[in-house]
Amino acid sequence: MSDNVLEVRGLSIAVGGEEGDSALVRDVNFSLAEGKTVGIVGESGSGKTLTSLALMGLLSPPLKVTAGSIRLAGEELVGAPEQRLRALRGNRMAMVFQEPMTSLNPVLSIGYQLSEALMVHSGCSRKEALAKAVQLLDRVRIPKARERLRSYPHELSGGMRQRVMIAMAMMCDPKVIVADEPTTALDVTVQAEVLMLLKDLQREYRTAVVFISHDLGVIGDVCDEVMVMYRGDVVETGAVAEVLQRPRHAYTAALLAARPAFHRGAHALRLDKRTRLADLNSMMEAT
Amino acid sequence: MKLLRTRNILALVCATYLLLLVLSTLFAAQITSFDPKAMAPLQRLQAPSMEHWFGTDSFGRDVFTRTLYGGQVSLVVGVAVTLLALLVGTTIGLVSGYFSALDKVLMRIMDGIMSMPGIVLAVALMALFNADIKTVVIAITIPEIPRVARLVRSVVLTIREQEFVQAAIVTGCTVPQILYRHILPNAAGPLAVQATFVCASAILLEAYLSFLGVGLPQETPTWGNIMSGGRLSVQIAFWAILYPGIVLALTILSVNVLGDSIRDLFDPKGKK
Amino acid sequence: MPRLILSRLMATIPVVAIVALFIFLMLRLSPGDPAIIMAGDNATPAELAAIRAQLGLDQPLILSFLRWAGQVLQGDLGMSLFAHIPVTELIGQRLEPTLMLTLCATLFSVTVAVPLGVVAGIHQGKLIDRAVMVMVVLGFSLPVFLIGYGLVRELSIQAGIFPVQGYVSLFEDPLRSLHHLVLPTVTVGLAYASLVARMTRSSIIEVMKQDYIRTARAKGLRPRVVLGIHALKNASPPIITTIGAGVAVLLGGVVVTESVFAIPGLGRLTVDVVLRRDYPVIQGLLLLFSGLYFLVNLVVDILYVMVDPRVRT
Repeated sequence: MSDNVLEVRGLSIAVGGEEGDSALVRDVNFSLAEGKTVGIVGESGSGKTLTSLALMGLLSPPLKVTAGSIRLAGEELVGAPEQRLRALRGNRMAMVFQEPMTSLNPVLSIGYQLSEALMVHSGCSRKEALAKAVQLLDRVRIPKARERLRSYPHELSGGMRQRVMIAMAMMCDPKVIVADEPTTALDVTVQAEVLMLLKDLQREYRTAVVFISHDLGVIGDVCDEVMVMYRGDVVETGAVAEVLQRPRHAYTAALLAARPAFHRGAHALRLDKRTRLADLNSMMEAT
Repeated sequence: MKLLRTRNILALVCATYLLLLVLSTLFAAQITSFDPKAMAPLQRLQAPSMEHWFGTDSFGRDVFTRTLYGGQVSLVVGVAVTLLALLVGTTIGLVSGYFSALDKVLMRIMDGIMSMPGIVLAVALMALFNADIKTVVIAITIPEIPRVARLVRSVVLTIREQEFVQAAIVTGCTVPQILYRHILPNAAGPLAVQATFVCASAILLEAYLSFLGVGLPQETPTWGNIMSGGRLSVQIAFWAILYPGIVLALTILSVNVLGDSIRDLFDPKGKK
Repeated sequence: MPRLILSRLMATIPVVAIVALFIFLMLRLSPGDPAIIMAGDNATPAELAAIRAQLGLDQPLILSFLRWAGQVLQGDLGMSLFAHIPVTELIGQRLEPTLMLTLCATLFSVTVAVPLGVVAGIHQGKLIDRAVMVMVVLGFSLPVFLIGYGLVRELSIQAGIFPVQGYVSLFEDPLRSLHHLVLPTVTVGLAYASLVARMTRSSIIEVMKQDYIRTARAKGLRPRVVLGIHALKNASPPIITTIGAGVAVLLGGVVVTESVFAIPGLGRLTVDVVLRRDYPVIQGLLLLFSGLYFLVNLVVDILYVMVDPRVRT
């Protein structure tokens, strides 16, 4: 248990309103060990992004965590003072966002944005930080890394920007990376490269990853365990092979059925042909 | 919801004030018995009293009366300028947005007009003709045209590409029909907002012109020249500047607030 | 960078040409014979002819426009019809007060408005935001002379802190000069500051919603850093543009304020020459105001590029 880099128990998120709180996410539980990847899958509105933001402590009012605990290497994050959370963000826990086009600051150079976090968290000089940045840029296979430091985001392609985001997340050697749909906005071929990159880095640095996606194929490729979310509830969790081959919940099955059939992944999917996505709501009520 | 309510009350207050103002200026003769132009040197520079609500100026004229009559001119100029600027500006904007050949030339001219401070341009234009109300209206309208033109132009540019316009062209609508029936209604909202700001600006500009002495001559009261006349007696008779000034300020403020409220109706995000 | 300046200059030239044309045509637009207006009813034909020659009224339009334009480019703005000195000299005499006032007002407005706008933006919806927005609406609704006389009455006449009017040259006595400039600066600056504050506020609000701000927070940067570096740099372009475009408003306010505070600057000159129909000076002044505006916007464009690297390509 204490081996787990991330432990989440009973996490609930709500939005505060004039008539009290409305729950958006209810009772999320999972554990993440070093070097492992847990996937969170669901449609938009399922609460997966909210969960990822909660992990990083980036929920802004009126959103708030109403219950539960998040332990990063044993340290409780829920209720921790903002100063402490800031010290951990970008440092022990980093996040990679979905839109590489807009997630990088257009008016600051790549080198500056890469070196920021390291300088703040480790107190090193700009020179030292930039040196490490070059290393990481090489590692994420960006050509001519040294010159790239002076480039601006708009000079890079989408795939390159996402690699920069990943490098940026890795700057302080975080224990956990939360990746919110990191490949969704990319072309399919680029997607594959970036995913492979993530897996390599993970193997090398033993980083734990929380991988959020709506794409089951990607989840299947990258994750060890998976959590399926629907409208704020976790409807199924388990090892990825299990869940994808023998879904126990109707929603999971429907998700699987909804995928176009050209994915001939290693996970042969045996499905009930009668399962349709259309009547999801009545299905949920029936369960 | 709460925010909306305060906004609404404010807009209502301003609209009421403006209505009262318009009515008072229209019925100025019924409200006051004084002659705005009659000088009564014996009564000069009297402080506000029951008889002279706003006091008297350096010629003994009742300031309240002159303010009311002055309101007639200032409001008429304001409305006239707004209508004229809307007319000319919209036409230029429509033509400019639709015909790109003319666009370059027209927009350069608009840029040129905008490069000069409105007051300076209006003052300079007053040098060309006699100082009567027509000249004042034209002199104030010209600096206001570019704003309207650019607004309409940007609406046209956006709408022009949309499908219903292409459909209209294909079904054989003539250009004027397209412009007036399809494109113009889309500009109505922002135009209404801009119109209020133009009106406020016009009233202000007229006041400045009169204040500087290049607007209408002193005998015809406008808010600007009432205040200009009161300049010499700032130290002893501040009321000649203060009260017309307050009325002027309240009017401009009300129009601006109304404009903001109308804009909020169309853009509830309330960024600006 | 020099290439940039050159290209911006090139872009401005057509507009400047149109402005010049308009200014030139003004004279010919007025009804009646300008020569008679200026010379008076008793002028002899010889005098009238001399005035017409001086103004170029006796030549075809294009020729006389080119001649005039040529003179202007060489720095010759003609002679004042009433003061009988070159227009440039006349303007030169009155230039300093106006420039000083404009400079002070710009500095004042920007240093007040930008921080206010930022504060209002990050505390959107709260009390401070509403307060700032109220001040903004008041700022450009209150007529300049009301503000001016109000300040004069309270702070000069009643309290005696500031002089009622007048101008002291900077070179003559810097301290007294600034002392005389305080009230006029605030009077002029208020409307301008309102424009800038409003744009700053909405720009900051827009920027803070952007994804890269979220990324900056996710890296654990302190709020001050996020705001000061990440947000501000992105919010600057519209603010800088407004500062430039607002110069027209500023100069307009200067013109009226000079009248209120009896400052012998270009604004007062404009009013005087318009009443006397001294066309050469009017033309010269219009050119000057217009030129100032374009100059300021050129500077603004350069600043814009310095702030936003995307424009450089």
